[in-house]
Amino acid sequence: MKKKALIFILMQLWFFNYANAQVGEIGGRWNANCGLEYHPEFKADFVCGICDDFRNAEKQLKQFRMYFVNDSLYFPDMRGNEKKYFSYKYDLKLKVLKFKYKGISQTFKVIQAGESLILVSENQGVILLLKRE
Amino acid sequence: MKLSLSFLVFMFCFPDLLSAQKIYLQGSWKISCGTETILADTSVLSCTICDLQKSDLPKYKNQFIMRFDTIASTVTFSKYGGTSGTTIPFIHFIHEKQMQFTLEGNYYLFSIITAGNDYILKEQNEMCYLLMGKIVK
Repeated sequence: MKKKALIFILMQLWFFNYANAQVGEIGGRWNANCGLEYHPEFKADFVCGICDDFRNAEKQLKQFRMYFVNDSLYFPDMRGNEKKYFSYKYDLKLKVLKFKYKGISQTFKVIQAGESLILVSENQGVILLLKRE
Repeated sequence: MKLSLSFLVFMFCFPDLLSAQKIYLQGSWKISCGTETILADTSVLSCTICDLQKSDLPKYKNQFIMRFDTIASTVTFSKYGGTSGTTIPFIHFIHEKQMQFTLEGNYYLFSIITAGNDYILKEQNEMCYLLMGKIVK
């Protein structure tokens, strides 16, 4: 009986940690602003592939939406119509976000800056600024 | 022929369309220090500038103010809730979108990254990220 109760408590703890690690501070709705970094070799600002796909063509803003809901990451367009869905993993302890985009693994360091988050890709090539919607 | 001439005239009038987005630093900015987790030991890193400017007010613990005077090429650092500030010279490399200054013996070279209406300052060794939000009066 005691053994069963212990297993039950351990399972609860494990599940709680898992669920927490998935949502944490990253959960919810964000406006993502693409970080445009100047690259001297191209004499232009670098625009990442994700930003290029999701930017708002009408306003020419390098901005899109990212919604983290449970285990899923949604990219709705700026009008809130079309939604693209990916599964993601967020490590709350290490502050690392991982998701597959067009079959390619994306890993981001998540840096807290005030109320906002700065996402820096593993190879430093992509920087996104996330502000609460 | 006529078309290419029109294109040349158009590009002459709007040269910015070809070049990188311009940076406008003039004025006051609220700086939010990027606190980064170090993967090896999961400790939290904040950069030395943030340690120097740390406010006594808990609400603004990781925030301070930078005021740029682009004509005098000076930048003033002041703490939230503080009465005075430190003014130092800085160099803005406009085309390279970089800035450099020396604060209390520490040399800093930052890349200025445009993100919407804000800027992110990325230190050259990627040890420090500062988020700049314009203070509108």
